[in-house]
Amino acid sequence: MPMKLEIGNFYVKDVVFGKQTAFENGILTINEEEAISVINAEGNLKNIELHIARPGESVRIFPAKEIVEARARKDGRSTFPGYIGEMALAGEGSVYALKGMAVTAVDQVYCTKDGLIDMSGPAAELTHFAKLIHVCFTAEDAMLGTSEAAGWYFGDFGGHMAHRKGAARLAEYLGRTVLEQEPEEVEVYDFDQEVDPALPRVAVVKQLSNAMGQPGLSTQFYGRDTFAQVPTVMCPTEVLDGAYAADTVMFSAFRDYTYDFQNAPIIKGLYQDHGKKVNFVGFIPDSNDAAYPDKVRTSNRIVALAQLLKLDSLIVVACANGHSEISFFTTIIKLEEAGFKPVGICQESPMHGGFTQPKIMLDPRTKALITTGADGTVLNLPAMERVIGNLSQVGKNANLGTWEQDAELGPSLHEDGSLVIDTFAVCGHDGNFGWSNKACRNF
Amino acid sequence: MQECKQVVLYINQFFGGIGGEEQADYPPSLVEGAVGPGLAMNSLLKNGKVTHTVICGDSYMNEHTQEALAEIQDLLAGLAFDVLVAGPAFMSGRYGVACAEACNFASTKLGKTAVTSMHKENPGKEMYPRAMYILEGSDSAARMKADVKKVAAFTDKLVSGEPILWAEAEGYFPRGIRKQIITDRTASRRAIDMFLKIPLGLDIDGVIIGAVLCIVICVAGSLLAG
Repeated sequence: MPMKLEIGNFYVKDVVFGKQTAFENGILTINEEEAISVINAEGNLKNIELHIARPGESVRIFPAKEIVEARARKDGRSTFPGYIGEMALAGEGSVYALKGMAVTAVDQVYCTKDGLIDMSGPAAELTHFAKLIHVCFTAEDAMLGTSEAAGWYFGDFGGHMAHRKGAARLAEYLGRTVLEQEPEEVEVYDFDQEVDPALPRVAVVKQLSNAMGQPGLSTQFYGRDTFAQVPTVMCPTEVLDGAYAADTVMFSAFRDYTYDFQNAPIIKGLYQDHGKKVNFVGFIPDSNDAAYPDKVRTSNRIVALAQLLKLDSLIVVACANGHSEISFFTTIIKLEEAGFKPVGICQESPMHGGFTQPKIMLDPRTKALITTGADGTVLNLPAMERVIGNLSQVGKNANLGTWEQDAELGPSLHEDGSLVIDTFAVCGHDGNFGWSNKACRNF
Repeated sequence: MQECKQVVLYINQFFGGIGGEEQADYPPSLVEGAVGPGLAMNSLLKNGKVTHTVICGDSYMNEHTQEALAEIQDLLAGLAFDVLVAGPAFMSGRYGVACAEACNFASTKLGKTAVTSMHKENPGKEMYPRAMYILEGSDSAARMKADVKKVAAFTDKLVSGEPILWAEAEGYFPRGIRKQIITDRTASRRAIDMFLKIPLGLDIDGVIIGAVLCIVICVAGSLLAG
């Protein structure tokens, strides 16, 4: 089992285009032509262009498909083994990371899980992604043909893998710029250290995204689909080091992007207390399949693992609303009944006006819960000077959080480029993995 | 100098000085200036003033609701005001229902913000939860001073345009509306702090129970309303 990971951080102050792809004095320079060839290694994308969006700028990114932190490893191992490189075990050794920026894949056609990132204005206050410099590429899926109607829903055509893997490849290409340099700081995650046996033993349970149960769409685990996966125990360092890549099913507000796995605050936060206040034992993925018997099987296995690992408690992290809430509460209730004291993290969905029942299921056996924000909160967003992507897709193709016409609010997209949308459409809004700066209250 | 906002007060025959139970059939009348609890309110309000008082018998409002509201509509016609305050009604059932009717009318028919105060067991509390703010009040008129103080402070906040915070922070009963607020602690920190309190044998603090209860109350409210 991998036990110790070092993340060497390089802080990026700005990103510019230039002759040679290089990192110097905090400035990342990108050779566009070379970067585009890296993105399109398999030739499944067309009309690729690069764009840079900085925090505070009047820029709107839409529809954003994937967000990845730029990283590389000196030992030559792929940053995403089994996904864009040879299969290997993640979570060990040293990885270098470009901090304060991300690589973001943007399409021309909206698909259900794509989202919006505003770099300034009211929506920017609500997501951690607005604090990053985004190296965006816009591209069309060469396989999509000319029909906009085809493939819009959950992403046929292999789950938009060309965009997703394109982002991971560009991230690794940019990460290589720092391999011969010394990181500004090194984060160490050492699970091999001696820990006081009296400390409470805790694990993180994280729901993955598998609602469609179809190949290519689900959260990727070493490049393999995670639906019907039996819960296992992993060293948390694996999660931080490329074991997972984002799904292409979940709506942008609660979707875990690849960046979120690489930087999961609940893992990093719990590690801060590891050996001091807690004994952070491991990470347990919940495959979160849609069918009820699978939910029962999975929650049983999670309880069994908790017993085998002699845990005192678990932090259970939800990934979405709808059927995922059934999985989430089923697991929490079973853990409570087995004598554990789980703490749940989930979002609420009270919708426009805040009048709707915020969870589809609640149970008095749920003792400790924090919630991360309200899906469906209406936002009035000003027009931005620059759009990366295609704003005409707002309200199209069942774009959750935007609409063609609403009886009260009118169309989402106004002629001047301003929007009225709700928080379902904001990338990273819920931040269940621990990012969220929001809580819900009764009014 | 901020413009002084106008407040209309609704009270029953008893607090309006008309009489006791024998005057409970008293039909609505409009008095210029503040009467009864309105006098105390005016000494407390900084940004507003009770300019008119509607007095109506509790039985009249409860037994002839539509007539009473139509008469109040006539009395208030042409009167410019910003907020309607009703009560405080304490644990008085008929008075609480009358305050809720007056507030609902002011809110839905006249488009005014409406505020009242009553005890949590008052049946008026459950009638139109989203049409008004109901401040949590005492069970007896003996604590009139405290309840009026809360009403005046909240009304001041309303008329000065200050943002109204969530129910618990302001002291009103939840209205079945769930919204997000920005916090200074991340979800990760909040979850870990909550976790740290549990296995170490400490009591689960009010925040946790509060979080669960808030949702339960909100869901119950939504179900009732929906």
